[in-house]
Amino acid sequence: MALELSSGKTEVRLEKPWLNLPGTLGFSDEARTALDLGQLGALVTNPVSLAPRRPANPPRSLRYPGGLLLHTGHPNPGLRRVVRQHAPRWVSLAVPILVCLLALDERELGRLVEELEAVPQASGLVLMLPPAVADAPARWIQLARELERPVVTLLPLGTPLRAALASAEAGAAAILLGPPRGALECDDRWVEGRLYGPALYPLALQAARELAPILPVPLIVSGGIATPAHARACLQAGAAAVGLDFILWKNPQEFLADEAWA
Amino acid sequence: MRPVRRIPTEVHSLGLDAFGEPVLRLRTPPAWQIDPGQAVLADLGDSCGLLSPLFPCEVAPGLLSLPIEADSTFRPGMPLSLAAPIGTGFRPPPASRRWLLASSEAVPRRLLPLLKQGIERGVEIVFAGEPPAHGLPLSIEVVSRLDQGLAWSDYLALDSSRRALPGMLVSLAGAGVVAAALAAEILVASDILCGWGGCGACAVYDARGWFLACVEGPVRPLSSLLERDGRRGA
Repeated sequence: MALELSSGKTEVRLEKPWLNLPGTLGFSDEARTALDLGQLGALVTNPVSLAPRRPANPPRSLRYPGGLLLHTGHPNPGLRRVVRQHAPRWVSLAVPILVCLLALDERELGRLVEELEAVPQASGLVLMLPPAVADAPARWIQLARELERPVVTLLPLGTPLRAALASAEAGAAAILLGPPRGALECDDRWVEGRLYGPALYPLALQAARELAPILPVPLIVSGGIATPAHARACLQAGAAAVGLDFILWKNPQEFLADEAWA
Repeated sequence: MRPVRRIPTEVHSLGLDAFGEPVLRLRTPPAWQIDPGQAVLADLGDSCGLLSPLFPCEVAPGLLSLPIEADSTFRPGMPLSLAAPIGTGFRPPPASRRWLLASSEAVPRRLLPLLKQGIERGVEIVFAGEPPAHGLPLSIEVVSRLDQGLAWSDYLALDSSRRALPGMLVSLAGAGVVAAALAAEILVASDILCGWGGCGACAVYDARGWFLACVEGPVRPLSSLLERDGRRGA
């Protein structure tokens, strides 16, 4: 069951309906030591910013029953260095590369897109939409579409229908529902971060059931998918593909083995 | 980067380590090795759905002991798959003969494999701190402060949680530890999720920037965390 993402001018074909979420597999070289990337439908890079980003100090990974709250600050060496270090090997991978863009504002997004024009190995983009932009993403998506490659918008699981529709109407090739944000108390302070883990699975399944029939573009859901059966259920519920996160840190090879999905 | 491999193991027994803390003893493949200071990721059935990063407290041919909670439900014969080894371990200079060890933890379990290696090599070992009295072999001298062993030692091995690291670096500076003056390494224990540098959860700040403990650590040269004059890193 392949998935085709289109920009109107170029298309990306995901031979398998599953991909990793940004923030799970690095920029490709890291993950090659742990799993066969050819088992993915597409490889989504970790979020890339224009300038290098340092990690949160300290990063927080707070485990709780049913899941994990993670705050890393999305460390990355900046787009130019990511491209220099990793892009030459992207061509040899058997999967499309979707570069995840982390921009602070429209100006940065525009520059990221400009720089990616010289990187043909990037088959498409995953665009992280800041919360303040999610309801009115037209300008951001327009900027990203100037690359003329498919743009997938990344919105948190639990996003209201109107925001997902706004992305679709603005020209997104697909909507990817990624980890929702949450907060936990730690050392008398609030720690905010992305949520992962099995407890999210019913939310992912419900999102597939509710949103997929309405959205005019493919919906990729993620959250708590821990078994191939979970993934199959999301696909049967209407998702065009599933996003994998914490399971790739736990048992990637066994999970992605083709026979597990049969 | 060395690939992280899945290692099939089987529970051999449950027991106590040298400090009387509970451990899970696993049968490992005969030729499999792990260096002191390297971590493993183990599926302990945590409801969060993730693997747990663990630092072995005993390593012997065909046998590995991991720290576990006292209420563990593991039983002998149960299979347990590990992702291992994670990162780099301690590499004491081959010619070193006088090791000084210290830990940020009240019970320095993560240093036990290095202690054993030192004893097997026949080196002299001094531990700086106040570990539980019954936990260390009698051949190991215990001093209360790090500076009491610095001039004597030719190798310094430290162990710190990421959380305790800033305080440890301050105390090292106070003890007069200068990065370039001594063969010194430090294990920085942080949460590890993936084990191969994909997620960024184990990032640790050092004097030059930051590193990922799962691929560029968890054991690092102390000089990478200290400035040349002994001040703490970034």
